Amino acid sequence: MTTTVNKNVVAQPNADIPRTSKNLEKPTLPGEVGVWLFVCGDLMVFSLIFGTFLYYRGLSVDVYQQSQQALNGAFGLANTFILLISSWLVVRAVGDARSGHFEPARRRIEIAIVLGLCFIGLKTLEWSEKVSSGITLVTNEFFMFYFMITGIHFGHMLVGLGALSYALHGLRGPVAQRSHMENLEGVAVFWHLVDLLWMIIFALFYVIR
Amino acid sequence: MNKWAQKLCTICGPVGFVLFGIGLFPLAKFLPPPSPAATAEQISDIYSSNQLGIQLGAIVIMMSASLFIPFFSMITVIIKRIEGQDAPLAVTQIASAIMVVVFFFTGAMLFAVTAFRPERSAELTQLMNDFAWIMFISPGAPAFVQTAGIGLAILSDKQALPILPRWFGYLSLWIAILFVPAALAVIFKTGPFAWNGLLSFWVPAILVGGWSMMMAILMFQSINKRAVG
Repeated sequence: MTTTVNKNVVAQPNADIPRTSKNLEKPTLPGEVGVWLFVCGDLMVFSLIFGTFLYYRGLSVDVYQQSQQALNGAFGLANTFILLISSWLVVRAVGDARSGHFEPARRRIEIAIVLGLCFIGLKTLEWSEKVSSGITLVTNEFFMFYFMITGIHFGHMLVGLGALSYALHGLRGPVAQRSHMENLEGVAVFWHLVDLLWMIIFALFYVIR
Repeated sequence: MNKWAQKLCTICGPVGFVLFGIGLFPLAKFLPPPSPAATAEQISDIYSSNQLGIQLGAIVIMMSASLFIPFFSMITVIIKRIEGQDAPLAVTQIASAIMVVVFFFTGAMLFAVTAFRPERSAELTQLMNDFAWIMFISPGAPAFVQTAGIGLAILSDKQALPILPRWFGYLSLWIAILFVPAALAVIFKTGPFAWNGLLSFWVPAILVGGWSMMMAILMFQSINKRAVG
């Protein structure tokens, strides 16, 4: 994912100044430590789920490859771009907010939220297309995984959109405080996680051969 | 000041979890759980070959469910401390905890009912076993509400020295999400979401153990730190 710019001014390497913790600002982690704990835990569980999927896929590759033909790649690709763009907007918004430009930061997060809603709309269309053609989560093992994993990701999208709205609310004040900045960073980290997970899901379900 | 009562209630959590483990495995031999895909005869055999073990296991699990009552009550007290006078999350915690405990308890009770007359027809034993396991595993939603409520309460703590550390709030939110897949145990007979599956059974069971131990340690620290009053 994108690395965020360090919010602290990098200390100028200057031989005259003794390097003590007081005058050398340490680079810090964006967001709270707890957010990273949550993200790492989530990645662990998803790795477990993806591993399970690949294990079962290895047991009956033919069924999986046949079922894959029924997926509509256009939906997957469109959603991949949507999330990439929204992630990039959130990165830009964090940069804006750090340099005190709250107006553009707000606008970028608003667009990111709209894109997220587009993702949800497309995903709902895609599911209803599957269901109307008689494919549900009990059709076979591949579609069980397809509906379950995209469903769990969908839940993450909803949480992420809630978090973005919360961050947007925090940017409304005249002066965004330090805690707001940390909230925004945490929300951005989570949004990148949702994006990253989708990339892996896209590869596993639509691309892998 | 009733520090001893607070510590007693706190210790009930880990003890309850250990009892749950003892009831599930050495007694009932339900690790791994009987497969939902098993035939009626196979299920009937499981119950007739280990009748007493399953009955004793059910008793121990019912005790462990009861020990979660004081543990969850203590969590409620801690959340009340965070929230102050109007404490919706503390009430949510105790109400959802009752629901979780009731299903947990009733699931174990249904193991006992199933093991009561294993000589009945195999189909009926299979039906009762389905009933027991779905009761036991599928209440992922109230467990989600309970744990997410705890997480949100910890994160809402505005004090300079929070009663419970913020990272544990995030951890609780994560655990809460992991309870959700168990709700799907009502659909699948094989795979990771079946009641003996990785995501419906193993992940929540192991994590809830680790989480309750960690919660108990942090509660102990919080009780010790608190001045008299």
